[in-house]
Amino acid sequence: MKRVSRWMAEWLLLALEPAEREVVRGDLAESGETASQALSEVAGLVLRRQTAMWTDWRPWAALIGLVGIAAMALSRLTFLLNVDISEQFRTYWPYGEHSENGLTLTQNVISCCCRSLALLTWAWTSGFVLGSLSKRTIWLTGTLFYLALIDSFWVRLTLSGNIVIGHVPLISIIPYLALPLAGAATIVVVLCAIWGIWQGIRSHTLALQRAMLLMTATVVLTSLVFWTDGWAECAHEAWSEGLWRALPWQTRLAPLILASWPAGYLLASAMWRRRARLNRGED
Amino acid sequence: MLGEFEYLLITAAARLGEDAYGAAIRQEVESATKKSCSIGALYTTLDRLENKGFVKTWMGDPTPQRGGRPKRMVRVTAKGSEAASAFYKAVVRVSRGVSWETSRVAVR
Repeated sequence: MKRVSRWMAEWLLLALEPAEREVVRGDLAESGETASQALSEVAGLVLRRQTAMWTDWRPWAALIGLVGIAAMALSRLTFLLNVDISEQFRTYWPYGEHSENGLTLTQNVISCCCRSLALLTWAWTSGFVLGSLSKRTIWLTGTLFYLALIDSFWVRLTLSGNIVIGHVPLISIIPYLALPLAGAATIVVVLCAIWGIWQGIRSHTLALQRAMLLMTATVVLTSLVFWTDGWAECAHEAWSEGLWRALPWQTRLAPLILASWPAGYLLASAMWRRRARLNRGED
Repeated sequence: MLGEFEYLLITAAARLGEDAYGAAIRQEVESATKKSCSIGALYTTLDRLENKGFVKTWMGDPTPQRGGRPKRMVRVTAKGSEAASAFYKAVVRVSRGVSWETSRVAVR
């Protein structure tokens, strides 16, 4: 028990700044607290510190804007790309033909490439903004972002009855919710987001030129995805002879915009910092 | 205006003088109030006091009885002394004539 308490106290201490961590270790050694007292003292301090961090707007912006909005949109877009890729593979592997979905092979390849590139850009940008906004709350926002990214669309489809889980007890699925099992695209998107988070924590901001470059790439890729998605919509409408109505352009554009906002935020903050520097006469 | 716990910390730090640091202040507060003072309350309040400019803190030298770990040293600023003095005077003024104050004087 003593060992467990000590190990837990040490683990909790990692949530503190290195300098404060050392001071608290020293205080505990000096006062001769028992292992359970030490654990309770450290837990109290960490809780207070973590609570204090949430009085700032940044972790909330990360939670609402990235976990609640961008990750949900990314989850949907990644899921749909996984479905398309696996459909093509399942047909191409045994029969050597591309799956007939109303698009030509070239159109399918272009559409998949555009969506893949856009997803990588959106995921990296979202991760970067999450890392730069969250920093020391990243253990919570990062975990929630990851879970929303890999599970939210899948869970939404299950809850709405579009995916029916057979006779498997729901509790047995829970461990799988923590793994990016939906497909290769999910794994790549998750890795890209983690890379972005790591860079966001380290460098905090992007220079104006890089932010502009990222924004340009995001706008171009978002436009391409929107355009190529239109091919599939038109093809489905034509194939069903009008029974299946293509989604309105606003409905198709909304998730793309929601996934793109972090790039806009990075550009706006880089411009704001540049203007602040100019006002101070630093440049 | 200081809070009650803030006043206790400033007073303990002022009493300890050059030897004021986290663990010593905590011990001083505990012995004065006969209640436990958590490390969390201590350091978050010290941060608040430092932000208000009432104390100044810095990292002290490591000592063997602390396992070679540094101390967070504390010094009360002039602004902190003024605030503590104002708090004390307010407590004295507001306590005049109340039963526990008069009985304390009578016991004396």
